[in-house]
Amino acid sequence: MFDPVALLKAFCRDNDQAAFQRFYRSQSDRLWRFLCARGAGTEHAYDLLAEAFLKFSQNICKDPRAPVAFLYRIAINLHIDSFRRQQARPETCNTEVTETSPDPVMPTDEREFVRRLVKRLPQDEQNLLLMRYWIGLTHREIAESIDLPEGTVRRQAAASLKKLRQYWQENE
Amino acid sequence: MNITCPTEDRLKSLIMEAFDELPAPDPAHIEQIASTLANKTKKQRNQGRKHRQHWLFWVLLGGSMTAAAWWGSSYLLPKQAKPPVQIELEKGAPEVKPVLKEPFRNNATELHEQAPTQGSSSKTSPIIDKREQY
Repeated sequence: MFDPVALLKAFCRDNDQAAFQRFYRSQSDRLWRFLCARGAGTEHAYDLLAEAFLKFSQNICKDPRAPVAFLYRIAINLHIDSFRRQQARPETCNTEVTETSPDPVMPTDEREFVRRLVKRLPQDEQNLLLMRYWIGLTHREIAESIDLPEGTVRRQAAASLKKLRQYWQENE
Repeated sequence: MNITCPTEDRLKSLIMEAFDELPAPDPAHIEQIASTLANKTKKQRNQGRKHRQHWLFWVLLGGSMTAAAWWGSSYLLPKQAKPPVQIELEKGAPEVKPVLKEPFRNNATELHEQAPTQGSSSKTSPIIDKREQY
């Protein structure tokens, strides 16, 4: 059974490089797609991924309790930093989600429609929804990663979901 | 085709499905990052150990210097005069007064010194008589 906390404890305690590699392989794929979904370009997402894991390896041993949430927090911060440096809108990933301004016309595919609706939410709410319902982090993990109370995160997640349904109904 | 609004639970699962079906990254690129990362993390860990050894060295050095200074302080500092020892006498015990003796006087010398003055007043002193004889 894959346990990220156990793997990273082995990495921190025994300098177990294999454990860190296992953690990397389990998370890299999804993190790359997360960065693409958040608006990073395909190549830029690879750079951010490498940088995020490097920073993660430098700091995770201080507190390896919620490693996945910590990794996503680093990645989001790096993405925001790079966005600010560029002083321009980030490139979009060369995937199905290419729209930066979602088309209000109802598509035929439910999933594609959900992706478009999520894109209409503010950045913070997008991060929250994806981390909660896609990555599968708990409210507590998200709260720790973004320095907010757990109750606030819970309320915000519910409110974002409600807003998403509202957008859906408006475009029905 | 019209898509009806799903329930909240269905919407949660739809979010997962929608983003899970995004294209996967290039495995070769991911492997390349993995190998770069492995080298960097190994270097970092080794550097961390070296730093820790340096830190330990300086702590041990500082500790030994402090200990040496502490042990050597009695030799290096100037000696101080010891405070006078006070002996408490028992209550009711008779106070012993020290017996004061008269200081020793060399009478012969004194007489010798006083001789000229006394000699002039009394002519009966034998010493003066002797002097007068010389």
